[in-house]
Amino acid sequence: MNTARAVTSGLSLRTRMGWLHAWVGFVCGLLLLCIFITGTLAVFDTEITRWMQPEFTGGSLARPSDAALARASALVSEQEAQHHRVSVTLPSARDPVLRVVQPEGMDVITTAIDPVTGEVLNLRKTVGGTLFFRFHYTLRMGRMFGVVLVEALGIGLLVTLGSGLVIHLRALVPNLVMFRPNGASPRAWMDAHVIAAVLFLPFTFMVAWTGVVIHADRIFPFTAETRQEGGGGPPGRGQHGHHRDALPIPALGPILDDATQLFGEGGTGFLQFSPRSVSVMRSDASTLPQTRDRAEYDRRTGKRLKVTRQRSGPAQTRQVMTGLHMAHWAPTPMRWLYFLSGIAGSVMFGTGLVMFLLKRRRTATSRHFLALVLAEGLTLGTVIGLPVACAAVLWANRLVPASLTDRMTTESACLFLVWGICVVHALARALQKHVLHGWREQAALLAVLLCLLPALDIATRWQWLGQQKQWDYLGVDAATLMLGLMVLRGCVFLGRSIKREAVK
Amino acid sequence: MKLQMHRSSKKDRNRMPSQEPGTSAPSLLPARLLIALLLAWPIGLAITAAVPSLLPASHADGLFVAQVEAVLIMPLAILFLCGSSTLSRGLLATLAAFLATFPLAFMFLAFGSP
Amino acid sequence: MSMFAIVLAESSLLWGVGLACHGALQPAWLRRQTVQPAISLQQWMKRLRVFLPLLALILAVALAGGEGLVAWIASAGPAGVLVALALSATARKHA
Repeated sequence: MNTARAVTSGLSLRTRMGWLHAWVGFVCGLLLLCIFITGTLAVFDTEITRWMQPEFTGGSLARPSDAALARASALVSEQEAQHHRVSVTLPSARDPVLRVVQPEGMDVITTAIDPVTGEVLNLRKTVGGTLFFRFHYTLRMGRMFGVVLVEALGIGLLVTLGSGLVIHLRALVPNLVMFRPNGASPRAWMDAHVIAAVLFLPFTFMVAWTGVVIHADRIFPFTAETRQEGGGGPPGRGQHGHHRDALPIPALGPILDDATQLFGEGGTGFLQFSPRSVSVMRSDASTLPQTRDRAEYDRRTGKRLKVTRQRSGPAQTRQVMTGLHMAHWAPTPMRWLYFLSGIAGSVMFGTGLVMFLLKRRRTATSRHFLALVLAEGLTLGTVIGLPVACAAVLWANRLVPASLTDRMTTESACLFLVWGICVVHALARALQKHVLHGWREQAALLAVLLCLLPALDIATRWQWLGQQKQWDYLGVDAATLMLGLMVLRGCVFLGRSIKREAVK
Repeated sequence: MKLQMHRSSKKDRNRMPSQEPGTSAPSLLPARLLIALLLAWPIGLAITAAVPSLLPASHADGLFVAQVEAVLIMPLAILFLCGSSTLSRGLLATLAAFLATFPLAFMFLAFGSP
Repeated sequence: MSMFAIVLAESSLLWGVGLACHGALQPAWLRRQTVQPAISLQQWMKRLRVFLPLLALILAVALAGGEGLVAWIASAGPAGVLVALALSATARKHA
């Protein structure tokens, strides 16, 4: 025992933390990278959904007309009769239509209604940005197991951040903006890793901590029970029940007017329906704290029953933490900062994974060959494979016929199919000991998919081009083009590395 | 047993952890990590069970405070258990971190809920 | 231009200049330069790397409150990346 104790106590703190950082970082990092990439895309989920519905031309920020609200009521009643949970989102600056939203398994089916005319808009069915949003916090593994896994990974991220801080503590301030791309092999990777980690540390720590806290109910199960007893949980949860005995929906116009007086102009976010009441929730975009204030109305008479506002210290803290993580409050420039920070987080994971493998590749013996192949393949399949799959979803959205009945399934299947192919390709290349070629091939594919996406957008959207506001499309196209060019630059770099290796 | 820490020199500052001596033989660290992983969740659970009963706020608010603390203490416990020179020191540090969650609750008791 | 966009712009700019001063004061970067900044200039840069981010913080909170604070924290990262790329480019040029 004493010898055993000496083995660990002989190691320096930095060495112990280095081991922890490397292994927890690698094991959790593969999935955390997926969470970061999809979370980064989810910052612009509404805009991505708009991009994926190129037929959309209208929209209005004004209060929905009575005709539009009546149409929404009819659709809600129809869905309730089939025992579906359903809600209605009100027009906002980001999404200026009335939407009837119905969760369907891991996806969400929405029906868009013109807020002025009340006509149902003929838009293609799409998974939209919701695919990335839901993947971000469930990994498409269900709301129980998936969320618990993501929570555990979030704790892993906090461990990795803590151990990383201890390792780099001495060099933290001097190396804050130090980047030496021409340094020896691990140096450039290390600098990129440290810059992405340290400069964005407040963001990374914030998203990790708030992300775990938001769904903390899932990892402390009895907490969830007591919350429901106390009724202090997030509003709206557990209120839906069965809609078999639901009363008819009253006129929504007066309800909305009353709620607007309560929450202010543009302060109403969405409507929720329970068998006995209709709730109007405050818009998440109105303030940084995601308050979820709600006004509840009697479903029989349409009269206001109560207004729920949580203003205790802990409740406000929870609202701020949720608001900070979700960024629904954020204006467009702030969203771009979230997006850039998300990319930096992904770069941090990507460079960390690469450094882990660089070191192991040098010291690996033939006994570790299969483990190394697996690690190399999974890393490549995640770092490049997942972005390729995400880009493929956007391509599929425009190439699959708009009238196809199973469009949503096709789009989400496309993500996993392409991702699977990328992983298999990566494993095959790693098995052949040509993993660098694999990196270049997948990076080239990603660059092509991203760089050509704007062309695909214009080619498949030209008939509605003149009647649309271009900002959302321009934003998605410009971002993909920029990222595509960066990946292309990486491709050139990889090509040079392969040539150098061949000369050796 | 004496604590044997390698003092890092200035040259050491930019060195990668992987380049440090001893990285290749951290024989007991996986066992430490396993112990830490087994302990982390019960520690969080204990905090969420104990702290709310101390707070004069509603149960939902108390649970939220406890959850926020638990989510911070769980990774700290893993870091302490894996980072300490001996396991007993790690356990002691973890216990200290666990107990440190209560002063926050006591502060809350002293000033009352907002 | 909204107040929030102004806050973001000023925070990014002041963070950028502050971090550039910090980066340019590091021995590793100074070693690669043919011309060293004068001692008095280095003294000023030392003051600016502390003062400018603080000024950015004060302005951000004064102009946009809590959201300004978030903008201040969030703008440090992208500004730092730009400074790191600029410094690495100049270091390469002089190398």
